[in-house]
Amino acid sequence: LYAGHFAAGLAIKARVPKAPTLWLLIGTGLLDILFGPFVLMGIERVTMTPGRPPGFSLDFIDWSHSLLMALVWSALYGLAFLKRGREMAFVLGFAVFSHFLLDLPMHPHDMALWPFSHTHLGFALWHTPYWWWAELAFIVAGCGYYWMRARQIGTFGGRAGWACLVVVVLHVLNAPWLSGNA
Amino acid sequence: VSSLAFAIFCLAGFTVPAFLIAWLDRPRTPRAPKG
Repeated sequence: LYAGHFAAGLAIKARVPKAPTLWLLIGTGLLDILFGPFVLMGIERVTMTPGRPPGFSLDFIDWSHSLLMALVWSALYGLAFLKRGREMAFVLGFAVFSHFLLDLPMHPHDMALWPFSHTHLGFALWHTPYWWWAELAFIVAGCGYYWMRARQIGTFGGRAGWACLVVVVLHVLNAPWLSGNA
Repeated sequence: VSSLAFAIFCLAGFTVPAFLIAWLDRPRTPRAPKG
């Protein structure tokens, strides 16, 4: 999942308008943000697989994307916002954990229960032709909810339509037939 | 693709759109009345 994580962040924003938008969006992407440096440090591994969706194979992602570490990163991220109150800490922690929940249907059995666990999760939607459409459906639902609440409440989403458009454009750019990984 | 390029892609791929979307999310400031 890529653009879908931004849609999740916007949906959480719509549900909890007081939550800081930027930190919600960074939170929903945190596991992937960590994944990059972890690959650079050599503690996680990825192999490029041009022509085979999604274009790469996540060989070892236990430190960023295992269930236990997703809970740890969520807790740490939430704790960083504790001074804004328990509710905000929980909401921002949940934003991080939403990444794991949304990756679960997409990933091909590469999300460990904990680092070096032999049990891996993931329903491999990425290896079917439907993943892009499934993610688009989620984006439409998440962004639609955000756009509707922004119009109702008025304290956020000054340019909600443009924000939603950015998410949709990111998803279109990620389409397998554009990247040659269909 | 080098590890460094991949790391930058992961970082920028999430942080740059996050800043842009958060900027678009700001409430519109009411226009000052004319006159």
